[in-house]
Amino acid sequence: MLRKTLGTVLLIAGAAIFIFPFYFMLMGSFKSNAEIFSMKILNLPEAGFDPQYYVALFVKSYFGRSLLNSAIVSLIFIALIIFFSSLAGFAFAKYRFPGRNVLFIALLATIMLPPQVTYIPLFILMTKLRWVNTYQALILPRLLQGFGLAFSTFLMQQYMGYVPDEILDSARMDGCRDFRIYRKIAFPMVKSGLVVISLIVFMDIWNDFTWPLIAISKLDMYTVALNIARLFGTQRDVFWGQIMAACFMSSLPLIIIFLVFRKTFISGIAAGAFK
Amino acid sequence: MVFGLYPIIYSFVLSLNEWHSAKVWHYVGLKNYATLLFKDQVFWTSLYNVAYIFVINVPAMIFLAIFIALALNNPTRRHKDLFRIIYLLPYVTSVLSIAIVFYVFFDDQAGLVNLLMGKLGMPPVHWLTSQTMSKVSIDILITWKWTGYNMIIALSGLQSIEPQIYDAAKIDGAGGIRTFWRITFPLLRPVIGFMFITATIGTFNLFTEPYFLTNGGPGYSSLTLVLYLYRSAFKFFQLGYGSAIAFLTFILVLIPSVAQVRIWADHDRSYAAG
Repeated sequence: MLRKTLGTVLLIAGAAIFIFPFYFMLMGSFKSNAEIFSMKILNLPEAGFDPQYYVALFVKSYFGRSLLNSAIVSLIFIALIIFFSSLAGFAFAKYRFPGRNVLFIALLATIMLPPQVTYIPLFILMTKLRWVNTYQALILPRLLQGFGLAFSTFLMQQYMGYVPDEILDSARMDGCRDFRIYRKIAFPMVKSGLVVISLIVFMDIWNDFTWPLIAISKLDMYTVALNIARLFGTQRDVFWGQIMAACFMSSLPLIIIFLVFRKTFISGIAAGAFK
Repeated sequence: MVFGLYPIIYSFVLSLNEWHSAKVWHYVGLKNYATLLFKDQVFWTSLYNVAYIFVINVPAMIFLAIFIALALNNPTRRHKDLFRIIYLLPYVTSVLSIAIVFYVFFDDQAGLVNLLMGKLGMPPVHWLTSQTMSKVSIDILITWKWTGYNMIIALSGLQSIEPQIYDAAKIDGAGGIRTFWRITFPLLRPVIGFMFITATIGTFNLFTEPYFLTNGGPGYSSLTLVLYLYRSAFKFFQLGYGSAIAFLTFILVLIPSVAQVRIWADHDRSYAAG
């Protein structure tokens, strides 16, 4: 009994520590510097909830443009990953073709690749293609990094493995072409897997900071992460409230998506699917 | 897919060269590696920093994760899902936002942590401006961010242990701590192995956290391998030298990475089935 009560107290204390920075971020986005750097940590903002810093972000700091860039990049990236990983996963799981095993081992090897090994070669490639400061540069190289195509294809191959061969065979007997079998039968059957993959990929690309930092230098191509880094570098000690507002806005989509898909997230982590 | 192997090979080729201007590469053999390993103090410092951060973070994080999981795994505990969601929030949010919030907390004079410590009569700590504490601050940040994630993994490990085993231990009169070390801990070993491997790779890849929190400073005291790679390659445009750092890091994380992929392969099979 005593142990359980102690456990409860510690769990609540821990939960408070884990949630406090978010409260601080949200409140800070309405507070002056003096209020942010003070002991009155739990107080509501003195000036009330005046959205001046949010307005300033959009009017003066190109934040709307950065949000748009991040959204475009994330959506295109997720669409590409879903299409290619499900198609390749289907091929790996259901077809025997020459070089299949070699290709699959190459795929596993790619997953092991630490992203930092890819930065310099890909940066040189971007320069040669004149892709620096383009959406392509933010999207296509990411297919080769981290949770890109290799990881999602690998995961998809596992899901596709559970699509029963009998259904595919009977469709084939009815004269169904291979691509149609993939699109009409296999693809709808792995939807839950595609949700897991989309979540991983969205978190990964929305949060990514290192690669955009290398590939992008023009302000109007900045992602949210880059813009926050710029604000942190230039506005620090000037308008902390504005930086807090930017941090909060960049966290918000992730928090909302997490709350909506919390069951998928938690079971995905438990299974080791998420990093 | 074969394109995935291209960066490794290309990195290695680049690391054997020196980059002079837009189009001129100059073959220098293993010179970059010789410089890195035998002359470059900064490289060794960053390797030391990563090891330092690793040695503190990993045991602390795994201990906390298991501790919280044990507290949550009590069958009579209420609001389990709520706790799980709260503890996972740090994992889902953007790293740099959190790093910036911690930067504010750790401010020397007016940061929250020092203000609170002052209230308790403790002297201020130079969280971001002392050689040792800069590394510890990074540890606190990554422990805060990743404990919830590891807790969920530990919890799934705990839930896979058959309750009959505990009943048997109870009948044999084994106490709580004894039961933990004799039964729970050995059965959790594969799960701990997974956490350990993931954390190893994560520490070697540390970039965003030190970039915002300390920018590698003071001096080089919290410079990580990837931050050093970034500086060499993209600040000073020593692309060949940067490639050598990248290739060495790759070799260092090769073994944990192979282990991780093997575990994934096993895990996913059961996950997709269930």
